[in-house]
Amino acid sequence: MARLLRRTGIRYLRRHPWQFVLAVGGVALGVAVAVSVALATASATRAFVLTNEALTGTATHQIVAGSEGLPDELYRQLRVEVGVRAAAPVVEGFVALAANPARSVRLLGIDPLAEGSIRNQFGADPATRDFPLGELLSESGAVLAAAGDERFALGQSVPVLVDGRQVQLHVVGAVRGAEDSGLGDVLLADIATAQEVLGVTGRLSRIDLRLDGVDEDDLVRRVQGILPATARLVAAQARADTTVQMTRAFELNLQAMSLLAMLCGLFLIYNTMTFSVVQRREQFGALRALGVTRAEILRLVLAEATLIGAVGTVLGVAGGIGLGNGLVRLVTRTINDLYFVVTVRELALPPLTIVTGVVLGMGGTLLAALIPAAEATRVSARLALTRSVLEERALRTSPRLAAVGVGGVAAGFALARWSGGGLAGAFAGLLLIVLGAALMAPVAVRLVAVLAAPLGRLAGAPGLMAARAMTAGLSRTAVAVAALAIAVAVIVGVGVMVTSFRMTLVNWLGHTLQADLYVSPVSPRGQAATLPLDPAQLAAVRAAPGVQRTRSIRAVSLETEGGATQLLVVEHDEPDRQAYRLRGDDPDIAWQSFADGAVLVSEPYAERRGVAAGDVVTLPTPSGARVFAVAGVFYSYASDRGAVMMTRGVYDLWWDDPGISGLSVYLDSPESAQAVAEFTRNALRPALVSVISNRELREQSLRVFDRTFLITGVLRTLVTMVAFAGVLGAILALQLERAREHGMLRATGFTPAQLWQTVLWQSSLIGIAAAILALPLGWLLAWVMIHVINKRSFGWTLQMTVPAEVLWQALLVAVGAALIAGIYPAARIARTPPAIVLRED
Amino acid sequence: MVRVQGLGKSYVEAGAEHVILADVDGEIAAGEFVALVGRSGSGKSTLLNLIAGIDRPDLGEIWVGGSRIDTLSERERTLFRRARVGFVFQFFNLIATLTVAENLQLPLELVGRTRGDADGIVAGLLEEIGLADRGAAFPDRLSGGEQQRVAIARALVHDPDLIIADEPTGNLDLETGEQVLGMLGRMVRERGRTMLMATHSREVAARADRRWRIVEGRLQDEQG
Ligand SMILES: Nc1ncnc2c1ncn2[C@@H]1O[C@H](COP(=O)(O)OP(=O)(O)O)[C@@H](O)[C@H]1O
Ligand SMILES: [Mg+2]
Repeated sequence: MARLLRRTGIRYLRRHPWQFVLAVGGVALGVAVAVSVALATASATRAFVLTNEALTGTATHQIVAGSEGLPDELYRQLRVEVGVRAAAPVVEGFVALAANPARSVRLLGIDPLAEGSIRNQFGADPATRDFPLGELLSESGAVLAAAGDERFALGQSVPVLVDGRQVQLHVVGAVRGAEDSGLGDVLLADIATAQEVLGVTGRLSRIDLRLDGVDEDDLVRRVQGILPATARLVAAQARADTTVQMTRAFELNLQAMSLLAMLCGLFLIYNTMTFSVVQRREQFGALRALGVTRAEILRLVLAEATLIGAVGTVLGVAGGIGLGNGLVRLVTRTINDLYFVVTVRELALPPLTIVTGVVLGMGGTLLAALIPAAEATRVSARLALTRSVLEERALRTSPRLAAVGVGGVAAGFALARWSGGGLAGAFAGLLLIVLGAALMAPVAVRLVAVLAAPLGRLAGAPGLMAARAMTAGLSRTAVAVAALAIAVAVIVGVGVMVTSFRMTLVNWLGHTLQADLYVSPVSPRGQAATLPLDPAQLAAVRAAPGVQRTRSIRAVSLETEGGATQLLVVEHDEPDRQAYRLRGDDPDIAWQSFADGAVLVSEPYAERRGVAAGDVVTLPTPSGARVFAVAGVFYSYASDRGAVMMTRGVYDLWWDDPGISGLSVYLDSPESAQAVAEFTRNALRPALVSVISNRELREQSLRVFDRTFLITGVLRTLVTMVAFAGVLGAILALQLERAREHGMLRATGFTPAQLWQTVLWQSSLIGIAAAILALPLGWLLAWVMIHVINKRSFGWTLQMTVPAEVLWQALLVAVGAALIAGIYPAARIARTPPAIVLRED
Repeated sequence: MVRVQGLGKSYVEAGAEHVILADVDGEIAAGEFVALVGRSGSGKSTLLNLIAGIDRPDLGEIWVGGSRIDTLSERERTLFRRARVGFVFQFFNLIATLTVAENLQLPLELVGRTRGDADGIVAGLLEEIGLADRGAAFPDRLSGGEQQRVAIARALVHDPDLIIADEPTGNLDLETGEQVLGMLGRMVRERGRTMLMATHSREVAARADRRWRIVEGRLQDEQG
């Protein structure tokens, strides 16, 4: 491009710094949010993969069997009878630190004599070994910990809790470079030590195998031949992938929200570029007369957009890395709460994420600038269309735009609901709905202008001017309204969704948690726990004064075709009908067949595996795979992975496991809660149990919920910030563009106060127009999020609740944001002496 | 130099067709100065835009310097204008974000002259229009008359064959307007260039070699 042409562009940006800064800020915030979310989720995934690689070593396959585990004997059979050379037994579990029971670390029990072939660094070979083998094998409670971890200094004795027992561990060696290789939160022990600590004597969590080479298929067949019924041979990589997959819906939801921030940023760019083109129509006309071609004008405008995009993208990527450091903690906590244990030491910076951020920032900016740039090339040398002609065109096209918008919303809604579209289709539908609604902004502005017509009588000349300016500057006002409406709709939509979710959860907890006290072993969260007690202790609790009845629950995990399945075993044939609500209209029949031996599946399980009442599920039992009829589907919001529920009677028929995981206690009267809790704690000694009240358990659950949605709140705030910048930019543009008219008004006797009023009235009208658009849009977004996206992501049915305060808050935010955005331009206009305004063309 | 033949142009507005130019014929020889006169709204600007290749006629042919331009593409007409035409308007002449000197350099840069070359030409022209010391100023610091002098210099700087001026003094007071027009006429004649100028001023029109008057969409040629 010609040097002087380029110079006109740069000087234009320099003369309108606020415009430049807002546009750059919009891109930067949008990119930062998108990049930070991507980095945070990628970091969590990477940390998991790294730990998993370290734990898996060179194993290609694993033999797994759910929480019940495998018999020791199987390992000997594998080596001796099948002749697998590369195999290593593993006992794995979590222990909580007695000093801080909320923190748990992984205990990995290995056999150093077998590790040479799987995890070389922990093998017994003195050439590769870097730890005291003798002490690890012989000392009771001996573990190796990450070098440099102060909690586990060499020689230290560390008390830990597991399954209601306290055990002493002794740190006899350090693992160098553990942090970097993903072993930061892992304690290594000899397999016998781990069995003792975790209370699983004679059992293995899994056996890692390397089945490669020419005879792989044959080996796999022979291994499968000796597996017990509950065990499965799985490919190590596939198993890791399944685990990562669990968090995909959660991460996808975060990413979709981050893209909303980007979308708001693009509106800002669109607005800035449109304004800059409108402002320079005469200049483009003169350039065209001088023989500057359309292509050159197009390049000029796009080059300006590129500059804005580049500066915004660089700042955005840098900001995204900063923001990602904060977000990664929130993301990790949620993954730990809901899915699996992972520790993220540092933010991963995958080049692809950075590149995506750059593409998003630059591509988005150029895309948003395309329409204004094309508009610039249409400026002909024949004297440029005047502003009023332009606005006339905007007025004329507004009904057509709105019609296209209605079509967009309808198409988006249909796309979102179309079950073939999956989650991606739902998000694409959401995007279409948002864009469609944006196209209705001009009509919303005209509607408000009509409604505001009496303002002239009520608020005098400033009111009249404000109402007129709405349509007189339609092309500008509409963009401001669209940007604000989208932001407010996001606030409404996400607000309604989170409130509905929370209300659903509160209701569910209300009817599910019927007992007065809940007893469980002190143990790391997320592990199938077992209360270590004998029948006499249990009987003592049952007979305790004040106790009406108790009910036990057993939770174990099974290895099934589709990954791990949680099995809930309830004590009575017919658990409280209140406690579990069933889907469908005839629960009586379902309960009856449940009592007769069928199982119930949770809603997420039914959604994920396409199972309904009347179908069957196959579960591995110690005597082989068994088919169970599905009596019904129960609502459960405890986990999005799904669970199968059966009666204790059925469980005892097929499984040889008398253990229980927890006890719910019903009292004669709530006053005795404290006394019974105390009694229970004593009666169950030496087991360490936590006895918490119904209310505490509810509060705990809601705390986890609120923690999960903290990140949603953060993202919502960021989206709002971008949109606010958009409104500020649009209102500034609008007012500064009318500077000449304002100068004229001042010259004809408008006081600065009246100008203030004019601008603030107009800002309020913009806010109202935005709210009119945002409320139905927000409701629609919430509907799609609740009934489509949540359902497809997590399998939950949520009851939609639209709290009244969300609605008036939205109105307040819309008008408030517009008013605040109006203050600076109003002050600026009122301060400017009329002469200067008149001179500026 | 310029020949138009059977030229017709109309605009459709609110469904009704307004014929602005109907069957316009005319010819301007190289080096001639023709004044274009007529009531406001009679179609002067429309005709100038057609001859400059900014707009396209509905009917007829336009020849400038031996090339027919009404059949050229948009891009070709732009390139033709860039090389062969100099323009002076009533308003909006100068690029606000370029200095006075840069405004003059722009047409040279567009036709691909080197910067060293351009600097010399620009300095000479600034001297000639009496603004040698204002080259670094931005246009909004100049008075209306000074701005219009810069616009004239810019129309001539790349040595075009044809200068088109659309009421170049319409925005200036009488005296300044006279000075500016005097300068434009002198500079065009010194360079032996052809000029077509729309004007309301009788005196200016009288100074031209010929007058074209638009009456009801047709040209009346007035000699002398
Ligand atoms: N783009 C356009 N669309 C519709 N009408 C136009 C357009 N450009 C000019 N006109 C009309 O054509 C007529 C002649 O305009 P113009 O050539 O500018 O007149 P003059 O320069 O003689 O004052 C006017 O009535 C004007 O309104
Ligand atoms: Mg005219």
